[in-house]
Order: sequence, then C-alpha cells, then structure tokens
Amino acid sequence: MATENKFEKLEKILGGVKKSNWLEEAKVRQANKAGMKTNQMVALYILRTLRKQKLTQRDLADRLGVTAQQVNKWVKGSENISIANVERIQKALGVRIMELREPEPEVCMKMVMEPKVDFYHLREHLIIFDNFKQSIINPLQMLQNYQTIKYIKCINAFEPYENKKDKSYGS
Amino acid sequence: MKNGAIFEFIDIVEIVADVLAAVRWKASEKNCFENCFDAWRDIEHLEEFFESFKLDLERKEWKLTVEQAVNKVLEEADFLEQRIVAGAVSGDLDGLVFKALNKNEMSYKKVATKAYGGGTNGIAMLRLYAVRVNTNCYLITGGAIKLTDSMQERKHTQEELDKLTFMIDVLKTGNVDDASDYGYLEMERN
Repeated sequence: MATENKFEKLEKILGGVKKSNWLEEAKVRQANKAGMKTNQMVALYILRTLRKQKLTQRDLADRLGVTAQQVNKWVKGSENISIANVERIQKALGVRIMELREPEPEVCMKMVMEPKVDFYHLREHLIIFDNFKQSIINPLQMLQNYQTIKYIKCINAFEPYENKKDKSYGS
Repeated sequence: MKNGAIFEFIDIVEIVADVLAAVRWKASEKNCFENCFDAWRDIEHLEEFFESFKLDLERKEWKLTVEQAVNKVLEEADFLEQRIVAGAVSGDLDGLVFKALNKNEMSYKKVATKAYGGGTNGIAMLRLYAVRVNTNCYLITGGAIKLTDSMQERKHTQEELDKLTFMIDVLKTGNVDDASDYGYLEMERN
C-alpha cells in the first residue's frame, strides 16, 4: 500500500507539489567540494582586492583582455579558474593569491606510485612549475589532478618526458 | 514590508520526501530553498552582503571580518547541505531541529546551541524559515543570513517573517490545522 505523501494535502491550496533535483545536485556538489572550496577562496580574494583597490570587475576584465562576464563567473566562486589565469590575475592586480610550497617528503613518496603523466598536458601550468621555490597554500589541493610533484623536482620544465624515461624518479 | 503584505507563490517543491518542501515564490525560477543555498554559495553576493552589514559584524556576538563571515557562511551552508543529503539517503533526518520563533517578539533568545559548537560563539548565521505542517514535516518559506537578535531589525529578515506569517494565513484559510508552528530549521552537530 502506498504511503500518503504528507505534502499532498497542501497541493490544492498551494498549486501543486513538484519534485526537486536538489538532492542529486547536492550529492554531486559534496563529491566535488574540495575543488569548489579553492575556487571560492580565490574568488573572495579577488573581490576583496578589487574593493581595496577601488576597481570594478570590468576594470579587471580590461586588464586581462577577457569579458566582464568571465570575470563575474570567476568571482561567483563556482567556476574553475586555471592556475594560469590565477597567475594573470595576480599580475594584473599586483597581489599574490597563491604560492607554491615544496611538498612534504611523504607527499613526494605517495606521488612516486602515480602513473606517468603526459608532460604536454601540463604545459598550461608550467608557469608554477618553473619557479618551484615559491610556496603554495595547499599543494595537494591544487596539484592533486596532476600527480607530478615528484616529476617537478627532477625535470627541467621544458624537457620532454620521453628523454627522461630511463632516469629514476621513484626512489 | 509590513504585516499583511501579499506575496504571490506558484507552487511548492518537495526537497526531501515527506520531510522538506519549499515554496516557489512568484518571479523566481527556483524554489526558495534552492535559492537560499545558491545565495549562500555565491561569493560575490556574500561579499557584498557582509560589506553592507559590516557594522553588524562588529557587534560583540560576532566580531568578524568580512572574510571570516563569508567563510562562516560557506562552512554552515556546506554542513547543512551535507547533513540533509546524508539524512535523506539514510532516511533519518533526526538531526534537523525545528526552533519555534517567539510569537510575541517574533524573535528568539540568541543562545549558543550545540548546532554550531565549533563556530563563532556557537551561534549560527544561517536560517531556513519554515512552517511545520505535520509531524517532522516542514514547508520552507525562505531563508536568510541573520546577524541581529530579532528579525524586525533588518529589512531582509523582516521580509522573511512576513512571508512566514503570510503562509500561515494561507494554510489556515485552507484548513491546514497543523500549521500552527513556525520557526527556523537548524541541523545539530554531533
């Protein structure tokens, strides 16, 4: 026997009871919240910097050569900002939003077991790898998809991986 | 917005079967529950909101910067969402606590609750306002970031109070006799 829906009695008064997709969407958000948190923090930093410098989002867009709508998407905190764009924003505003820190040794050991990463996939992000002496607020959070911390320490940024394949990076 | 104001609604949307539903007010694509969470995750909205209520953040019960307040809302919203999702999956939303508003003052005494023991003074900022329409069954009429003791102190919370009382009248006119309690929902931390 079907259980009576407790909200059905409101249907006549309030014009119908519809179903929501919120629960399914929330599960997806919860699964992706680590990345979302980073986007949110960057967005907040950008907004506070704009306010401090008395700049608008359009001013920033002009400096970056992007549309104001794109900047607005970033500052909402829901869209991924690539590390390359963060670097550009840092230069445009003259601030440091993120830094890279050399990871703890145990982090390096974990990364040793990761599968080989296509070097050229990382080309967009070389700007942070090129200057490794900087420090990052959360290296695992920012680089978790790239599995390359071990490689960064060992290779010249512009040397193709294939030339290094005989060298040991795992020990 | 004064008492007796007329609000227009389109329908209600069930968020969690037999436990949570939310009103979809006119001129809104989404129901008020989803609109609340969208707003509570929107960094641009939060930054502007707290910048405009900076003086409230300087009160002794908060003493927060804008950045800290934004982070607090993000944390609270994430916690609330996480627990509702977990409760909906397990079929157990026991941790969802309904707190009745003081019907005389339309406020509540701000006390530290175990709902946010790890937060600033244990006091939560986020509110989901609801009418209890049945046992453990709530119709959400809206939500707000509440920084003051009473809802009447700020326009955005006064409006939520008006929506609540408006919906009570609608339900009672429709002979929904259970619609006698209204307040806000909170999720307890373990």
